[in-house]
Amino acid sequence: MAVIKYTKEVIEHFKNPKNVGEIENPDGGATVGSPACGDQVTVSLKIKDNRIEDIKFLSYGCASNIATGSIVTELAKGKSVDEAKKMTWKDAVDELGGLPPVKVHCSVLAVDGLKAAIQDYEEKKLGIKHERKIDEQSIIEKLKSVIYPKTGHNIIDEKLVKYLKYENGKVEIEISFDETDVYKQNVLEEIDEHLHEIDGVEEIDVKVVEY
Amino acid sequence: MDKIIYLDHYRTTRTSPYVLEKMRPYLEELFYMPVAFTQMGTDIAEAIEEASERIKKALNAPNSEIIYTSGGTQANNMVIHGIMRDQEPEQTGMITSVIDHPSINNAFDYYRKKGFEVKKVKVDEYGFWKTDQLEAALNDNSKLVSITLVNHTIGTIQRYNELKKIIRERNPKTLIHLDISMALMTQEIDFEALDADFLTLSSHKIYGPKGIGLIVSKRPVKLKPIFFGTVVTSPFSPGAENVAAIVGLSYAIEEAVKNRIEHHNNMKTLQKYLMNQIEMKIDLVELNGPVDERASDNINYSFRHIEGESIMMFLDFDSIVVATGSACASSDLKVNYILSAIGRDHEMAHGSLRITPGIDTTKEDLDIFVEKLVPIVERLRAQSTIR
Repeated sequence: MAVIKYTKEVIEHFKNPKNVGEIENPDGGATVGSPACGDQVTVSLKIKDNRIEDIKFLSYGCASNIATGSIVTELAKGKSVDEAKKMTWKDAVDELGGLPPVKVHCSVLAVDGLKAAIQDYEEKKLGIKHERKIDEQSIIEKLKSVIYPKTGHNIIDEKLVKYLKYENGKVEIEISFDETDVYKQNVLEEIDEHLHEIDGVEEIDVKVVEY
Repeated sequence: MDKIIYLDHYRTTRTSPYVLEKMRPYLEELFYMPVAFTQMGTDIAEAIEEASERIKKALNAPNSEIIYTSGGTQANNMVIHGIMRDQEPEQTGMITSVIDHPSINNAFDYYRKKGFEVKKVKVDEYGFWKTDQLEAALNDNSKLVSITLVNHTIGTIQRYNELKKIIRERNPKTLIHLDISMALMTQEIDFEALDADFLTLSSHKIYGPKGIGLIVSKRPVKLKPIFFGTVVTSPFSPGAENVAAIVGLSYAIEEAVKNRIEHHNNMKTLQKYLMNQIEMKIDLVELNGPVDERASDNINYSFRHIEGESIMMFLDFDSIVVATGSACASSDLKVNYILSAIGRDHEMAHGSLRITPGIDTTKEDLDIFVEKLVPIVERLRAQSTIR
């Protein structure tokens, strides 16, 4: 059986998280995730001269949720907005000395929180409209945020998704699991949550198939 | 490291020194197998026989068959598969509830896939089987009803006699399987009076060794074997006997039954005390499971706005061991199915702690636990997205 434990960096950030709280009158802010899924992160930003001058987070979630919130805000602080937008969850995981595969999704959520807060800043303060074309490629990109908890890699790279089609607001997906896969339900919930975040996606039909 | 305050006895218990002492000879000089017509073999066969007699006496099961298994999970599986092995799916009904142990629940799921008539009775907000659903589920095809006497998460004690009456009246041929794993420490178990067809039990929940459990069956045993090999003592559990564990289990059962009332009273006192302390010192908490008709060694609370793995880990830093129903801390990232079934929303299920004291637990242990818990809850709430 796999030994599931946190690195000392994760424990340290869990015990003494940096940048906890909420910025008053932030330049940008966002809440991602939901208590239903077990984790939620709120990120708020203060931007000066196109740099992240201050950043704070709140967390509802487990130790890795708190630790990734702490490290992502720590990494983003002082960065230019463009640099911060290029941050990935792998940066956060590396900085923490690794995360158990089953917890990698927490780092994705924290980075998503940062990016959503930046997007909020750009929309509200700079008036930049983020209009995204929805097509199969953009849906595949979105599904790369869904982590397969057994390996810590996303479900696209894991080749779990066997078929994908998008038409008139409806997404059809076929995905395959072993009969004994304990993560099936979790992955299906994550797919649903992530795809519902895309404006314009109205119907999601996920079929579990055996290949 | 600090002294460990262990409040997770529903997960497992330590093997009692008395039980370990009784087992030791069978791990050392009495290592032999129960081979007939040999001196050492006879000693071993007698030890197994005596263990079974000890168990029958403790559980008032004089006319029963004792079948040893590798644990509670195997015991439940052997009952379910042992009954269902040769049944025709279309004519066979199986009933349990939505909150029974996974070793029952998941085995039932297998038969559902095979086309059997599997029904899972819903429970009320305290975890009691809904009797009208049981009545509706029963029919002429009902072959088996599996009931967990004390729920392993929220401590609900099922109204077994009421359920039994409903089952026997509707279909006297239906076999009743009662899992008493979490019940033996605090509930009176009288096999004759219970009149179940099978009892199942795990040893490591009652201060016995791991790797052993048992089935107590009415005679004749209405099971088919699902394991095959050299039959030594029982056709249902072929292969080498786990002699030391069998002996250990028998003494663990004897001790549990002998000390039950005193233990139950101790647990009741601690339970009341801890529930008072938690409700007095922490706001936005809710008890999961019933207040009455609840096992005295089970406490389960949900703490609003925070998540259980975080609470569990902070307590762990202080060497306090509890369990949580949070999906984050589970191996499959699923929210606790029992808390969902009694109507708890996800936030409440994720924020739950199961606190299960045991024979070594003192009031002082609980004081330390509460003293540590209060600031943990406060700090996690202060940094939570939910207000």
